[in-house]
Amino acid sequence: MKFSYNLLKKFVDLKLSPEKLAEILSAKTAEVEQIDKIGGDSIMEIKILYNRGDLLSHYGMAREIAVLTGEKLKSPDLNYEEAKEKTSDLIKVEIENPELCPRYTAQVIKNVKIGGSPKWLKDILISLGLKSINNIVDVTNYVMLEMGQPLHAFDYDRIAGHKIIVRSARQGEKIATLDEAKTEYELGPNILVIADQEKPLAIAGIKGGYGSEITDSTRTIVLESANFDRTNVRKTSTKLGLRTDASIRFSYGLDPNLAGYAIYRAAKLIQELAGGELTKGNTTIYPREIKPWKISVKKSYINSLIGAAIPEKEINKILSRICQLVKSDANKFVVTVPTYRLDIQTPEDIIEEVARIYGYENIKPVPPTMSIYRPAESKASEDWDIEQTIKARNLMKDVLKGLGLSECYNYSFLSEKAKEIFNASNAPEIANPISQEAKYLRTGLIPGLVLAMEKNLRFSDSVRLFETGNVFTQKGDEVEEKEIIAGVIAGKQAFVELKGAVESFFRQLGIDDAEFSDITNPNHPTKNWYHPARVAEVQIGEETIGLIGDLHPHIKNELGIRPDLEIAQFSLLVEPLVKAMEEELEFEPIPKYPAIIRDISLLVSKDIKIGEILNCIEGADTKSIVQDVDVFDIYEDNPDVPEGKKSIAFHIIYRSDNHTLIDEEADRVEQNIKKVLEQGLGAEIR
Amino acid sequence: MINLVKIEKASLQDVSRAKTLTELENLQTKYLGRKSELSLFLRSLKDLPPEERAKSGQIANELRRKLETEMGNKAQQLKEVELARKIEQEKIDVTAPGKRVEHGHLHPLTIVRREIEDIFRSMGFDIVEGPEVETEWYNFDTLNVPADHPARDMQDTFWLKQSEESQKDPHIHLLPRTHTSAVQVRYMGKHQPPFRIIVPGRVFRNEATDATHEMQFYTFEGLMVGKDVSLANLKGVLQFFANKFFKDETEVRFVASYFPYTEPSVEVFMKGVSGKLKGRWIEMAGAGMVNQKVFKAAGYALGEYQGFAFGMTIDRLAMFKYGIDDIRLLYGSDLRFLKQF
Repeated sequence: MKFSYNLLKKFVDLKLSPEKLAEILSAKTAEVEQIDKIGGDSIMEIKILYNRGDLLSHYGMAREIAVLTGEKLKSPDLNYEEAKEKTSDLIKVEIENPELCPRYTAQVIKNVKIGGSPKWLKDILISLGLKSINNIVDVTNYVMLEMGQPLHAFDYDRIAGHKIIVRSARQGEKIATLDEAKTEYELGPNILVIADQEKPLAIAGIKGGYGSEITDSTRTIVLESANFDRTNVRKTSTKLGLRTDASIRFSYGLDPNLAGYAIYRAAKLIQELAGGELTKGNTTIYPREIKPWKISVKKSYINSLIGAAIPEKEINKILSRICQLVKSDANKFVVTVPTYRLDIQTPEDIIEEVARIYGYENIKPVPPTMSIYRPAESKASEDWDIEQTIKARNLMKDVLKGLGLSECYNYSFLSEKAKEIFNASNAPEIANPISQEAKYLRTGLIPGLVLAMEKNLRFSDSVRLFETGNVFTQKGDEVEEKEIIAGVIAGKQAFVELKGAVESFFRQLGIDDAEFSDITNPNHPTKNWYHPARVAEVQIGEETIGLIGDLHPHIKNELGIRPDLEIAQFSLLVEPLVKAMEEELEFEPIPKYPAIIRDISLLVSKDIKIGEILNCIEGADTKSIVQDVDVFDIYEDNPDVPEGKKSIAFHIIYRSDNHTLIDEEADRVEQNIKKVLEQGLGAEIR
Repeated sequence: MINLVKIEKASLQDVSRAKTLTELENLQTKYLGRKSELSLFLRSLKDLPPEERAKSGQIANELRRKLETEMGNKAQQLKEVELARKIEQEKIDVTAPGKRVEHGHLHPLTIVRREIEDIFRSMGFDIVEGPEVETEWYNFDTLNVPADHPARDMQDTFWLKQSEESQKDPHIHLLPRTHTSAVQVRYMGKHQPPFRIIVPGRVFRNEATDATHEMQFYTFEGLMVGKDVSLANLKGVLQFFANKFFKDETEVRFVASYFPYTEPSVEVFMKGVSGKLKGRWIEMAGAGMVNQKVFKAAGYALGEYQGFAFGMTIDRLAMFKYGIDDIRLLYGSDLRFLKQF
């Protein structure tokens, strides 16, 4: 909001330069964003805080400056001459919605002479960003700038029945507002209007309409000075897309008592500039008058909350500038708060006044005193889980980084198109999306990662990305939220490479019971992101914690990724990973006896899985001396390998816990293994 | 009798001329081997008369020892030469680049978040998290944000599509949270003071994006509650944080502000210590003393506790730290950006 330094000076003894004033206001009251030198004046742009509607005027700001500097405040001249004729005989007011209009005051001025405004008035309006219209309208605007009360002037003779009715608009009612384009607005029952007996004259608290405005031929005017509910004005203003100087002020919330002073001030100025006779008294409907309220605040609380030792004399001085100090005893201050300070309601509000006026710069940093630890969390508590998750997440990120994947942060949103491509039918929907790019919440990390992959492939062939983050699923009217860790890589043999990385990831996290198997759950929610013939379920214990596999060729196609480029991806639930990591590691003794290592090389039908072979070996009579089976070579589609077959080679490590093995023992077990492989899988030992 | 003098002369000459260890080994066989003249002679000594045996034996043995010493010395010398040659042969260009070992990168927001957590942990703060999809209740109602506050408007907050019925109940009405302050009452509802926590996490705003605005970003909320926690303590904690984070002595300044969930409310500025920010006051946090109405929502008795709360944007701190000028880079997943960290 714009403020004129010169106009402020009319209301307060101002010895500070505009720059110095700006500095003080910015620290203690509201940020001065800009100072422009215009003519002999400095125009300050000040960002008024949402709770300080009392500062939306020059008089209000001057009052604040007086508080901050201790200088004397000068009130505007409110004295005018009254005629004998009573206002109440000329104009009637009726409020149908008192909760939306706590106060309405009307004043009639007869025989005014409409004309241009004097130079001083035009100048101040223009320098504060308003237009000069005529002397009446200019006065109403000027008083708004001066005192903060929006006013409106009607042509008395064009108010049907000389009665003002504050009511909800009726369905289908329209109004053309007072702007050059005469914009027409459709009204409705949620919009409060000022009407006469026939039609709406103005949108309450926002803008006046054509038909009752002041024209050159106006002789008698009705001045409106009213108070409207802030919420309703704000909602209407948003709904109509109509923000005016009046609606902004009402939206902050104004003191209804201000309407009373402001109408006197406007009347006084109109009489000065346009002549006319003011009728006696005014027509006011103000059923629940707001009166100053008392607040009591403990003295010890003030310095305890601020954390400083502000002398009582200083506090006294500050409080008496803002409020009326009613009482002060050994323990507390009791103050009466003026009605324009709607923001001061609690003891803490008082303390804020003391702190900011005393000066935040005078409050020294103090280290807190508090027990150095809290009782340790029990293992079943939410705190424990959060702590473990944060630790585990950090380790997981470090491991994936070490494995050559780079971390990215994608959006939590899905576009309409991504939702379609990834068939994310259970994605929660945003009711008020800002763009088509962010219409849904993501149901997994894979869509974002794959899209990021696609973008990066334009610059690089070796893209390896990972992400941790929350994903969302619509469950009826509720949303389920889970944390996921996922990664994606591109390149030759991407699946094998990624699986190796994920296996290493598990080992580095201390998880040794992770298994990979064909999908057993045909309804796995994100199954359709994966190549149906190249996807594995990842299991820890009995629980499936995610999937690993190649990107579905259909999605690759939709995204225009070259079909020959292999893209592999994994996605795991974080919670079961954290649980599995929590399992304590138990030390195993270093083997006392040497191992014998033998290799077996065999030919089997191509469709036999390595997993089956390993299971088969496990099923042989191994006399508990097989410590490990390690696949080190797999050949297929090779001239040395017969059609339809593959060649596989293993290291088998034999060791006993209680003696040094002799070759014959290993031979015997090896024969058993070979036999089950031949009999069970039709393997040909080479 | 063999000519020992001749053997001595010939052998010493051969040894001195030997160029390689192999040559030397051959000479060893030739002059000292089992079938060498000298060995044969020594073996034949037993057939000589005693006086001649002693004399010839002495001379021959001396020659053998001399030869052994010479050959030993020569061997040592040749080994050194050979080693030197080998070393010379193995010379590599150490300025040529090493074999590349691929590694990944952590996102700058992860790095900065860890730094923040470390600093606050060192002051005894616990790290707490909360859900990203939050109820209207925790996001607004418990924080004394009135039902008509503009922050609840459609243009600031994303809302999730729900039935009319659900939208009416703030305990059920859902939104992607607009601030991590939403965790305040969630936490306080389950914990009694004293405590101090920070709550880092992702938040969402219904805002058009540009270089300084994103519809998602990361904030961390600080909350410290006890019997006598004060505004001066808030300043102390933030001053400590600023010094640690900016790795230099800096200044913290409070200016008047307004938030429904704090009273008094302040905006926190920190003085930049290096680069473009040096000497400039940078807006860092919104903060204040927890409004008693928030304590009330948490079920604490009015006037029982005092505490401070603050909120800072992690993205902003990361942008200051690395001189990043466009917030959208943080969510663009461009490896040319990510690989720099």
